[in-house]
Amino acid sequence: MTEPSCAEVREAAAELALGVLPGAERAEVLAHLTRCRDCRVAVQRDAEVADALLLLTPVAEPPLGFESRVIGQRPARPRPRRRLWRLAAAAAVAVAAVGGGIAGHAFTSGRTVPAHAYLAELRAPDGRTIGQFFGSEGQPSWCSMLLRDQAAGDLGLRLVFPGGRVVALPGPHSAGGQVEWAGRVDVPLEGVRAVRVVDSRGVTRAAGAVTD
Amino acid sequence: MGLSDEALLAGLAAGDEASAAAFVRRYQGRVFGLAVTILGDAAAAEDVAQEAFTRAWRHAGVYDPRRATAATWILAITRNLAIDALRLRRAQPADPETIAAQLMPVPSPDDGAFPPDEAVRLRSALAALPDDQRRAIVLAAFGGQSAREIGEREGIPLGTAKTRIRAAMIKLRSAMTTAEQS
Repeated sequence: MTEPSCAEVREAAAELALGVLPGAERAEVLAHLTRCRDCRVAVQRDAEVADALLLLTPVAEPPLGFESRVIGQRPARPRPRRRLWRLAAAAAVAVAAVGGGIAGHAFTSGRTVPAHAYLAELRAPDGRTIGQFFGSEGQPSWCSMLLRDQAAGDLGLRLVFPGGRVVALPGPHSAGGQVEWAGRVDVPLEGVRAVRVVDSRGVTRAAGAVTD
Repeated sequence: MGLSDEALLAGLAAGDEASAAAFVRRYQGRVFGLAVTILGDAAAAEDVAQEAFTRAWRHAGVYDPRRATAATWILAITRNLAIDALRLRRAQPADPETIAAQLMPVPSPDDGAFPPDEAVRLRSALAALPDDQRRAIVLAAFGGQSAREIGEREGIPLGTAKTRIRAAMIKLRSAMTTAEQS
């Protein structure tokens, strides 16, 4: 794949921002954007115009009952699946290996999963499942995470609670590729509803709704 | 005043039905309006609008307010679904001048998603574009047409189609930049 020049990227910026750049060309431009801040700024400006065009369309009230039909079709909250529980057990073992504590005791006591455990399947912004989060309530609480396809850099965790309260926690440093991490957290996990993994710029890399 | 968009989306991510209902009420007019504009068919537009909110519910956990406002986020989902629906029906996008005309006279809703004076500037800039540039950017933005498809539709070379899209974008961007600076 030949990386395009900045001039070539600027020529393609409008089509990229409008979402109509063909696949191969799009991949080349995106690769350039990972390394060129000036071109990222240029594409972002065009993306703002593309977004603003959508905001110009007239408002139209949908047919009667639309809201109730949408609510009736809401996706069910995912139930813990067997695979997710096995991965949670593996993650909890990682927690025990790193820090012992309550989670480690839970394993040695014969229970397969701690009593207050929080699990989330982590998805990338494009919807792919790329990891799992596991949280164990206790004194202290522990979190662990398996995450794939990560670029190098520092990651942070954002725990989302009801009412929109967000607790920011330091996460692992990624060397690139798969990230496995476990750590003690000094906040209660009770009620946590969602998890986000962000990079050093605060951009979301993965997120998921918590099941308990 | 209700909850912020971020609070509603956090509620969506947590599976809170009240947050979902509030989010639907807040944006159903914009979402359905965009779908109708693209598809020109109310029944198909309603299906797209429902799916857009379902997708929003499913992916609320990955919504990042640093990347987009809630309005542009849900409208981008809607636009992509509507274009997919067009392609599935093997339908051609509506006449771009018809779409452009629908964008013109209507004042923006006062929901804070887009400052009214900026909307006026963007509408004026769109109206002031040469006809061929306006058609090109409308076909791309609302029809999902690539430069190659626009070239085939308009009977022009690929390079000319690319130039028209780019030139239109430069003029519209300039109008928005002027709005920010004033």
